[in-house]
This record gives sequence, C-alpha cells and structure tokens, in this order.
Amino acid sequence: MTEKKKRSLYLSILMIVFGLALAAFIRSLLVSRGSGNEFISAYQESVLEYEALQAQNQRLIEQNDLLEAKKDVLISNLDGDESYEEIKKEREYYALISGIAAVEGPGIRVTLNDRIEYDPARHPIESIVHDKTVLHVIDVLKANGAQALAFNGNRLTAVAQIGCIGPTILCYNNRQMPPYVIEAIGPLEEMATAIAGDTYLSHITSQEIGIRMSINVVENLALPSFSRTGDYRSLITLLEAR
Amino acid sequence: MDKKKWAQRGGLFAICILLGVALALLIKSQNTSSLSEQNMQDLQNNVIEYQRRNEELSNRNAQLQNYISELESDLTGEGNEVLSRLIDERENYAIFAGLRPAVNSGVVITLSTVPGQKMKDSVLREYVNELSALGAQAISINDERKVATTEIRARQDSILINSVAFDREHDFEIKAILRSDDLEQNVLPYLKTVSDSIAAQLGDEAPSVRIETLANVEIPALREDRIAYQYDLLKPVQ
Repeated sequence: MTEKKKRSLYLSILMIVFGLALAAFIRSLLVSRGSGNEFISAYQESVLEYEALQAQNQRLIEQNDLLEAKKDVLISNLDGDESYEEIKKEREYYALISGIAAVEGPGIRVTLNDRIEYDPARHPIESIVHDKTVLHVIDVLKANGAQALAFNGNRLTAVAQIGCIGPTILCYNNRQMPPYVIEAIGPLEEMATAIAGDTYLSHITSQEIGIRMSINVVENLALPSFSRTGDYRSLITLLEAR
Repeated sequence: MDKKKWAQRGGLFAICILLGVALALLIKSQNTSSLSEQNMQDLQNNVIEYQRRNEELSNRNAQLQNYISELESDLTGEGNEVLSRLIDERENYAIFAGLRPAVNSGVVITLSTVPGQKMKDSVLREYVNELSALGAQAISINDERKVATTEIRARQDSILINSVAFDREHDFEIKAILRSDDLEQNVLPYLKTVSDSIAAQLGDEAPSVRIETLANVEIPALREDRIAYQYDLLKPVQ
C-alpha cells in the first residue's frame, strides 16, 4: 500500500470513530431528555438541599460553641458566693465524668477501615468493619483503663448507643462513615499493648480478612463534649432521680 | 509542500481534539445517568438526619440563650433563678453519668448457666450492647450500674464488672430501663432473636435465658467506692 493510501485509510478510520462517538453522545443526550432527566433534576435538588443543611449545621454548631463558652464565663463569675461555690464544684465534677465536659489527656487513637476493594462475592463478611468490631475495640480499651472514649468524634457516655442498620454503623442514631476512629484517654502503654496484642484484632487484620487498622499514641488527646453530638437530656427522659 | 503538510497535520490535530471532547462528554453523560434509586435514598436519608440534627441544635441554642439571660440578670442582681438552674443542671449531669438511682419501665434478663459450665463475658456484653443500641437509658448487671467506662470481662472463675468479681457459675441479672411503648412490640421480640442467635453459636454451652418486662425496674446508682469512674488522667479543656 502506498504512503498516500495508508494516510487516507488512517484518516478514514479516525473519522469513522469520531462519527460514532458523536452519534453516541447525541443519542445519550436525547435519551436523558426522557424520564431520566426528571430523576436527575430531583437528585440535583436534593444535593443542593443537603449542602444547605450541612452549611446550616456548621453555623449552628459554631453558635452553640459560642453560647456554651459564654455560659461558662458567666457561671465562673458567680465566684465568691458560698451557695454557688459548692454546687458549681459538684456540677463541674459531674460534667467531667458524664462526658458533658470536653477533656484532654494522654491517649490513643485506633483507626479501622474496610478491606481495600472489598468484593462481597470474593471476600468474607468480616472484611468490612461492623458495629461489633468497633465495640470490641472499645471493650479492650475499657478493660485496660480507658477513662474517656469517643467514636468518630462522638463522646461515649453511660448511655452510648452503637449499632448497625444494614451496612451502616450508627452512633446515637447518627450514621457513621469509615474510617472509623476510636479514641481513648487513659494509660498509654496498657491500652496500646492490649490493642496490638488482641487475638481477634490480629485475626481480622490478617491478609486473609484484610481489615485495615492503625494505632497512634497521642501525648495530649482532646475528646469533645457530648454536647457536640446531641442534647444529653433527650437520653435521660425516663430516669427519675429518687 | 510544507504548507500542505502543516495543513494536514493541523487538520488531524483538530479532529483528534474534537474526538477527545466528544468522548469526554459521552463519559460524563454516562456517569450522570448511572445514578441509582439507592443513591437517591441515601441522599434523602442524609437530608432527614441533618434536618433532625439542626432542629435539635436550634432548640438547644434557644435554651442556652435563655439561660444566659438569666445568668446575666442574676449577676446584675435582677434575678434569682440561677441557683435553681445550677442545681438542676448538677442533678441532670449526675443522672446522665449514672450516679443517681433510677426507676421506670424496662426489662429484666436472667441468665443461668448449665451446671458445670461458666458464664461467658461475651454473652453479657452482647446483651448489654444490644440493650444500649435499643435505646436503654440505664443498665445494670447484677446491680452494678453500667457507666461510660464499665468493663465486663472474665478473669478465671469470675466476671469483673466495675472491678467487682462475680462467680461465673452463678446467675446473672441484667436490668434495663426502656420506653414502655417499645417493650412488647420491639424490645422483647428483638431480645428473643438475640437469645436464639447466642444459642445457635454456643450450642450446649449457651445459658438459659428468661426475659421479663416490668412497669417498674429499679436500677441503682454507681456506688461511690467503685473505681469505674477514674478520672485522674482527664483535664477539662479550657
């Protein structure tokens, strides 16, 4: 074949491919103008609504932080009155141990994630992180002296709720997304050694199962107040003090 | 000749660019059309969740504003509600921490081991975790109040709860306070499936289970001599 004929052939092939791509694109435009179009615009509206709610949530959290700080400053200004002093001290103590007060101290951070490229057809169910996996880590930490804990930024309290709905882990009825981060303030060495040496965790982080786990020791770990998650009063509506 | 060659190459270049753009637009339109009902459902669930959270935060902020007004008027000598508020808050924090006894509707689960068998700590933890996930507002195991740092673990012949040892060959009683309207329809059937699941896992080693719903379940406060509330490593964030 001569050079000229070869060039003409290549050009023809290129033009055919271009024509096919253009035709497919025009066809997909026409198809999407059908029923698919309504679904897409409903989805896009929901996305806009979701983004607006997220932004509103952030503003409300910032406002809440400011109000809590202002309240604390005003309460601290009640110094000097004996009737307030005793009650303030007790209030601060209960706030500390109940999870209402944000706290800091030496601690560890355990991060769990699903197996990379998890395929339900090929990999065992243990290859994704379940509520039981998270609860197991929390139990190990508590058994080794943890004094305060948080899961994905939610402070754990006497009424901590961690469960599953289908593939989603809930904490205080809020959906949690991976990576799953469990933080604990307590004796560093005991907690880190216990997690690193735990038989069940060693099994699920094996190559066969593939759960990804990392342990970080943090000299000064800060855990948020439960108020960041919700209103504590909604969790004690049935408790009548005697 | 050169001009013709450049013209040919320029034309080829332009065709390739157009081809690339057409392919990119095609892929984009394919991605958009691959949205599924599941994506929509997930998004709508997230929208509902954020609406709930924002309403709750908004209410809390409004209450905080009122509290702050009372504090400010008290500091200027114009009101006397603050002391009462502080007392209420102190009591609520203590209740939230598990430091006050409680009584209300709920369930009592009695677990009895087969003679010669020892109770497994994992069985107790499973029931406690399931009760928490069901929304139990207070839980006790053998009258040891479950708090944020309560551990339930086996050590030889005992199970330690709040560092108190209980003989593994004896019965264990788990009590929980839950909403009365949930008990018969949701809680009881769900706990039965939990029992069945444990029985299937453990076979002959499974404990026997009795579950009762009661109008008045009494749950004690965490005792002050318990070390469950160690806080020597905690500093409030300023």
